[in-house]
Amino acid sequence: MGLSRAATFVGAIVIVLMMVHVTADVVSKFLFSKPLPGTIALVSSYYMVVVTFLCLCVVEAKNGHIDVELVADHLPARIQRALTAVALVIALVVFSAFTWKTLMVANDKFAVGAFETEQRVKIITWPSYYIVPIGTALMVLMVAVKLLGRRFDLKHQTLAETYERANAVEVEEEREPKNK
Amino acid sequence: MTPAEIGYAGIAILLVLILLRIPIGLSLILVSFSGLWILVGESAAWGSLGLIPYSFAAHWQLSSVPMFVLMGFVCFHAGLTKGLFDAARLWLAKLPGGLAIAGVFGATGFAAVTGSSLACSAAMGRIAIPEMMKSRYDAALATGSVAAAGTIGALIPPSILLILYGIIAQVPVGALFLGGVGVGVLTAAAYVSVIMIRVILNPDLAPRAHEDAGWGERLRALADIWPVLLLMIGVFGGLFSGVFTPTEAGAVGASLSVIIAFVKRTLTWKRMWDSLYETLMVSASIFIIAIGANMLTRFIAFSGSGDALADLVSNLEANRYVLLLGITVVYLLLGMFLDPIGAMLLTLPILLPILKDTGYDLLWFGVLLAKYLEIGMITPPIGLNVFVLKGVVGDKIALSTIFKGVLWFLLADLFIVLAVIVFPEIITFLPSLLK
Amino acid sequence: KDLTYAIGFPTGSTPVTTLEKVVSYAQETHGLNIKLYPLSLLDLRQTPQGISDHIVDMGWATYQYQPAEFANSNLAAAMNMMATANTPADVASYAMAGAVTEYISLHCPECTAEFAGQNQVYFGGHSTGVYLTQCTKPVVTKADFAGIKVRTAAPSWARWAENVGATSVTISANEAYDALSQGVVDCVFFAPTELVNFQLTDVVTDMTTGVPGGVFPGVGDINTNLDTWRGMTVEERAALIDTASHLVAEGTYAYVQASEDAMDVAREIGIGIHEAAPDLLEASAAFVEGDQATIVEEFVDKYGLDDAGEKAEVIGGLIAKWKELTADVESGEALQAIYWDEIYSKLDPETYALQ
Ligand code: NA
Ligand code: NA
Repeated sequence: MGLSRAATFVGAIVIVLMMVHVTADVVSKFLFSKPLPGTIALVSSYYMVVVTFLCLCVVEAKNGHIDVELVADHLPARIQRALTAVALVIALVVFSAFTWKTLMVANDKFAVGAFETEQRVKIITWPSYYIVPIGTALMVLMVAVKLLGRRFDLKHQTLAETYERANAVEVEEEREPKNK
Repeated sequence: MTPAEIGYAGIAILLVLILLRIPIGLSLILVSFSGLWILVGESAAWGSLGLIPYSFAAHWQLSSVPMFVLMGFVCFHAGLTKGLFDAARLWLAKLPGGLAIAGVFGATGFAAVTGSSLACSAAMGRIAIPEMMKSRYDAALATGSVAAAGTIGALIPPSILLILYGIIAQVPVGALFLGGVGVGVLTAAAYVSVIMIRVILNPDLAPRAHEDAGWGERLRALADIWPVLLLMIGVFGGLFSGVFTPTEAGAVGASLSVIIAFVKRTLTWKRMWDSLYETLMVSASIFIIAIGANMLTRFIAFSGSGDALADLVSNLEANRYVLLLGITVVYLLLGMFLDPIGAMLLTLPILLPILKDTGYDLLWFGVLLAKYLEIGMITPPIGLNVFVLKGVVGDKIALSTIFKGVLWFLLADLFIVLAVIVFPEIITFLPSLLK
Repeated sequence: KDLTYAIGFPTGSTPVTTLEKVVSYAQETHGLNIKLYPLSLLDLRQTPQGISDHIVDMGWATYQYQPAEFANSNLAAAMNMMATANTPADVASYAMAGAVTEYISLHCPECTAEFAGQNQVYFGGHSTGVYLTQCTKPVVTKADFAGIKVRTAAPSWARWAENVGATSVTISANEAYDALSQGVVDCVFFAPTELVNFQLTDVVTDMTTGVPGGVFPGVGDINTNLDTWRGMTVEERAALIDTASHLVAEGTYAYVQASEDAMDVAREIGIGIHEAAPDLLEASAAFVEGDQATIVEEFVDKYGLDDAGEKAEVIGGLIAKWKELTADVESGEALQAIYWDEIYSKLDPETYALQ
């Protein structure tokens, strides 16, 4: 889905930004005794909020939200599909409520022009509050798409599977040159 | 219903939802929201939903989690740790079970550049298992030793578990990191002993290697561990000599790993993208659970059921060891079924007040907790490290064979837990040097 | 039904201990029942929002974390370094709590409107003990400060540090221990009480009194949800106002005592306690004087308070007045009596924050 691709792309850029920004701050403090102004405020209010919320929908797309398969795995397939449907409905309700409330909060923060001061710099923080409802709204969309498409299958992509997949890919990559 | 009863009912419903495979984070948010609504009122429920997720996420110290995760993924994908196993292999091949021991050494080295034990067993699995199979090692020993060795990844710093624990329990992360070193090294030593004892008793498990590397080759192999050494020196040297804080260490480590991989020319765009993508997946799926657990803390606090439980425990006047035995059993059981981070985030809201009331050293407990949770990574039926190795070996080796191989290392783990309880200094000694 | 009260400090800390006393006072004297929720319910940052969302009825609201929402109210707190200039430490704390509380509740309708805008009512706030320099090496003269790194928590302390040639860095209070022990910073500016609260006793080796000075007064000690306040009877409101006066007085007094205790602890465990060198004190005094204009400028530019200049003068006057009023205070009761006469007796339970 295009939107979740875009979310991943923004998320990836923010991860890189966080890495570069904090490292630059450390280097600047160490070499020149000059902290980069507003590092902590930007990392916490912007980067971390993006990393936490924006890609919830991508995790959902891969069935990657952490759950416990122990009992459910031994149930008949039909019941498993029903459970997945229930989980999606709950997710739809909870994340819709989540989106509505955090949008209200963001509107309040916009109205007062929320900001923080770090050292001597003013960092405007109200836009960061909108990242939450954007992320959860994308999540609602993803869940709705799954529900409408009756996608109640569960091909999990857990962290363990991520590594398994990565292993497989690397093994192939290593073989390739020899084949040529 | 009294508030405390509502609290217990909430926890019971939470467990049912989780067992029905409703995602853990979602279950936590749903139960906390509903519970707060019933206990305190509509406005409190909505208020928490508006306040807690943002304020939990917008957290400076938490930012080291995605950064350390990224560092681990970059090391993994760019193969920065390949040289570790080769060097260990050339130096240790003559020992009984030398390749398996080299795997433990490799895992211990990799542990210093990753915060997760999955990454550790994945990396060593990919490199060490084929070598061991070539040398006709017993399949259970080969896979079991690597699955177990992976658990060292979250004990030796950096460790995602210890960072999250430090933030939640308000224990300095730097001190926790030092505390983890003791248990991590002890675990490695115990695993090496298990391998040697087993192979001495039954030499068929691991045929001696015939290759005898010359000193020149051995020394050259040492040169190949420079990426990991450089990363370790950069991150821990900088951390403990005061160039940066534990929070900043994550970003510095990630940057260093990218630079080193770039210099080594093993970092393709694809690998960088995979690392970033997986970092996002891991972070978002952990943080949504953490947010739910944070909301659960508020619900438990309002219900007073945590306090009631704490009173109950202190009224039992159970001695230190009995209480710890209880905690140990609970975590070994939870660890059988739950993802370690999920298990920790679920239990800390209830457990921390009890631990504080009964006066435990929270630093010591945090490292012990990490050890418990890591044991859960290799216990059946859900043993994530074992699953990762199953992915490496494919259909050639059965899951049950790997679990069988792990068994011996679990035995060693129980001894380590006992040692850490009887001699807390194993954990507290290094942090006490900081003072 | 009990009134619920959230505070982001743990049980056993100075504020929670004071609160426990004042809660039993309110119960015994007025039959006003307050249930305390330390630490686990809302953290320090979340509490103001938690009160406005009515997660709790009241709480320890550190409004300094929300400069946009509480721009006017923050001006009084920002001028805290004036309170300590040429003033004994205990008097500085007593005076600053009085000045801020009086300014916000009686002289600044914009301030009370800010709190109403966040769905809550302000009933005064305590002051911490006087900030001093806590280091891992002796830092006594102005030259000692040159080139070292200092953790500071507010803009005026950051400017103070830069003014003596130090580098001011932002580090969260929770990281102070790690940062000092690993040498990421050489010093932190904290009230003496934080030496104990954050276990800095393990890592701090030297303390310097007299610098940078200043206190932290940016808290509403018993901010109350507006709906809760409106739903109370006149008697209950009167009881709450009286309780607030006790909390602010006892709280400030307890902080001053705890600061002195913390200094005793420091002496006992052999932390070197130095007085700031004359050149440093001189530089500090000059800085505080000059910084008043900078503060006004900041509040005009960043906080959007066009009349910050006039308001700062009113606050300056109040600080001077309160230094005289509290010069001879020897007990929490005496302090409460002054706060009552000068401030709380003027809060009308029939009208305060009800228009
Ligand atoms: Na590690
Ligand atoms: Na397990």
